[in-house]
Amino acid sequence: MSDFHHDCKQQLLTAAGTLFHSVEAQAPIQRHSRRLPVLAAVAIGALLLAAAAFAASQIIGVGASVKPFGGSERSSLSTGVGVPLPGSHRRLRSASSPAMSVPDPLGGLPWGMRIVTTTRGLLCVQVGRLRDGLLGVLGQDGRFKNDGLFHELPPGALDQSTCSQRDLFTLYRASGPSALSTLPGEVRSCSVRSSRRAGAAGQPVCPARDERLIAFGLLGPHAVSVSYRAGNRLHTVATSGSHGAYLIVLPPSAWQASASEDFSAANLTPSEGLPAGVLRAYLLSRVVFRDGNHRCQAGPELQIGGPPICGASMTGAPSIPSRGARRSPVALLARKRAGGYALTLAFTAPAAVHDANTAYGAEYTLEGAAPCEPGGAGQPIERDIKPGQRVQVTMFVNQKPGCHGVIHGRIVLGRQGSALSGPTYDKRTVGRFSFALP
Amino acid sequence: MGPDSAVSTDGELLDRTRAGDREAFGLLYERRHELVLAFLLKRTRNPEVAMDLMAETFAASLVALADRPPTISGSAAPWLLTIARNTLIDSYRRGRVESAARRRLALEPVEIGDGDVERVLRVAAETELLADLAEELPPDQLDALRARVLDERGYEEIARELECSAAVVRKRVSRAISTLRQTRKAGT
Repeated sequence: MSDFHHDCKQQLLTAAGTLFHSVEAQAPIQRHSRRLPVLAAVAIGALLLAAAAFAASQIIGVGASVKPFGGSERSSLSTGVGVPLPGSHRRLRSASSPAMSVPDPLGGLPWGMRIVTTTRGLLCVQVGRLRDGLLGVLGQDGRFKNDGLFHELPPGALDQSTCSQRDLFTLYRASGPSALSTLPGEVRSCSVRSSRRAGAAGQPVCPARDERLIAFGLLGPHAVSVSYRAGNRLHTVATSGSHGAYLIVLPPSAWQASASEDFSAANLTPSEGLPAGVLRAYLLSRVVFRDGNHRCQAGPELQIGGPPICGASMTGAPSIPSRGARRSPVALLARKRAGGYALTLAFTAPAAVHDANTAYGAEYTLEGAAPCEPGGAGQPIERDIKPGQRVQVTMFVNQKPGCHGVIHGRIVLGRQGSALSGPTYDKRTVGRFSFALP
Repeated sequence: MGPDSAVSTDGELLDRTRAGDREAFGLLYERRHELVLAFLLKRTRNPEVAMDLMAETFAASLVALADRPPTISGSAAPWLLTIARNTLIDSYRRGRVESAARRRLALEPVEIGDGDVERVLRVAAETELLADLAEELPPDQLDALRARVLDERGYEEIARELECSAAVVRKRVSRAISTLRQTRKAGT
């Protein structure tokens, strides 16, 4: 057996032993590599950004509020991530609000975090500076024309990348909020120092004193604490509230002390193809959850001799629409487009979608030899749907030159792995279709 | 590992895994990983990606075994291939190799060397036929055909493994060959 298969098998054996409490599974838990995403699937996020360090005592004026964040997905009451529920977010009473407020490590305005519940059942996170109980951003580093003013961040200025499902099932299995984007309204005029892009395109590098490493997330009601490494020390902080929230703000030295190419890579954005998990795995070392009367741990740096690895029992059974939902015939209309075909699929929804926890989607596999692509998926249908409602969606099928074969597709209904990610878990087939690529 | 491991069905190995016998899962891995690898390699045409997906597939099967234990009495091949297919589709959807199950189990990334790649390509050539058959035959016929024709085992031994009579095994092999003939005829 090759090294790969030997190593792979040994890891699976260790995992099987831990998962099913084997008496043979007491092999020591290795300290895991930080090179790749290995953190257990929990909802966390981290971002590296330039944020000027104003002295807390400095008088800072107030500018215009941040406008709702523009994105590819237009949201309304029943589409996209939805809009904030009235009263779903608490006004932060003061800069020292104990809930989600942490001091700035370089003495600037404290940092705060707000959790917003939307009409489509998502939890979204907003992070910014606190001034007189308001959450906002500073006009620095290119934002708001460097006016130096405080700009309030209203609950409606949601960044959909920070939204996640609120149910435990998704929270523990899915990626959760990616939180990879910069703060709303931020258009930086400089690059963060640790970024590989620093200095690119003639952009100056931000002053080190303006940079912070921020990690935040929601871990659910069972979360107890999070641990992270900074300055070669392991720090542990308790999570807060019923959503298991945490917010960590560190000075640049926190990552410069262990500066590596790996961490620099983590500062890339999702559009550059880096998995969100990579970024997440770099700050948090371990998360401890409460599992019934016991505690368990998850993360890339498990404590040897500590609690067992968290299992699935604490997440409860998913409440996906009934398996008995009737199948729906799928009407298909194919139109030739450059590079492939646009398939318009129409079906009658057998079950309702009443929030962003679930979604319909279309996916296919292609039976054909190279150079055919073996499969793909269309854009998920991110809107509320009533039972019996006629639904239409268009999916593009790429056809490489010389590729011929039959597409076997299906319409599925399932839980979304993260906000607007499409059906990922517990998928139910509600209709099938096929199309021969000529 | 029990003394009867060599003739345990996949379903029995999964039951024993759930009961805490981790070596049983190792046996299942050794028995089925080449099929899963061939299935994924055929679709990705990339040995490294296929190996990565295979590791995720087996990790996902462990997670599924804990969360939603399947009812499998005989072969686990269809179950594993379904997980492999879902892993592949999810990976296409996300634009990267799915790793949620390995993250959840806190598995380390496994290094892939040149020797591993060469071996995968060799194994793929040997098992491509099996992967093709897995798509064309029902699971019971596939298992019977593989055991009889590819593994060259006796009907009685196969019958014990599949928990049926030797006559049933003969019938399944016969039907499998008939199915393949019809498929090939239709293809030509």
